[in-house]
Amino acid sequence: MDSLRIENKDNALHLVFSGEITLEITTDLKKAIEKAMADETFDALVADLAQVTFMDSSGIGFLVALNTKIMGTGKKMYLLSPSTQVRKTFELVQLSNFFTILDSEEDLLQL
Amino acid sequence: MTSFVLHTHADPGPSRKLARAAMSILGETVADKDVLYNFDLALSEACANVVRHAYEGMDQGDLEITVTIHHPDFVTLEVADWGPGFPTMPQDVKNAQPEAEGGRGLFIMSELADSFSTRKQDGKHIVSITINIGASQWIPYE
Repeated sequence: MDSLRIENKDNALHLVFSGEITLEITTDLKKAIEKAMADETFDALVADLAQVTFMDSSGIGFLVALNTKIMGTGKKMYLLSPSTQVRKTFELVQLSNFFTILDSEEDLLQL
Repeated sequence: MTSFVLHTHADPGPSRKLARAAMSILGETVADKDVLYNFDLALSEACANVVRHAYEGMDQGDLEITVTIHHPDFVTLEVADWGPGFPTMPQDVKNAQPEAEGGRGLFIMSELADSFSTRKQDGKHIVSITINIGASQWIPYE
């Protein structure tokens, strides 16, 4: 999948998104991530949003659902370096403080 | 005033492609990147609503985007479907709870638009989004 790369680094499952996160793609993203979550061993999930050029409320709903699922398993989810566009959508729906947002991978190492 | 009408089947892929085509037209008219992002977001929400809700319980129908450029004042985007119709527009469009997976589309459109309305016309249900464009935000006419 061109818009998602999945890597397991030190028991943190990194989801590196690129391009748009909209209704066009959320079903495929969900399937790919659910498969990785079933196959991999990890303590935390990191959604890297630095290369996301556009996200609408379908993308937000997708991230909220993923967060709920991860929290339900007792693990943690972080959003890494959201792009300006993603931050703008979060601010618009007042979710900037709902997710744990990290500005860089160094912040992740310090957790 | 200049209008462009774009039409496709109301499935997720074609609808997003149609929205991108509408944004390509706007990209030749509006210079301001933030304003363009607002249009893209509002349009994406309106199209997603049609794809998700307009034809619930029936065969998926079509979706139409009309871009009308009222230079030098504003741009209106209209997204139409031929479904049975949406519920009455709430007077006060509220944001969803943080944990909610859906229910943010109308709120986003109403936040971004200077004027936001719905109507029924010629068998179509139409969501109309108008955003004012400042003098410095247009691409200058040659």
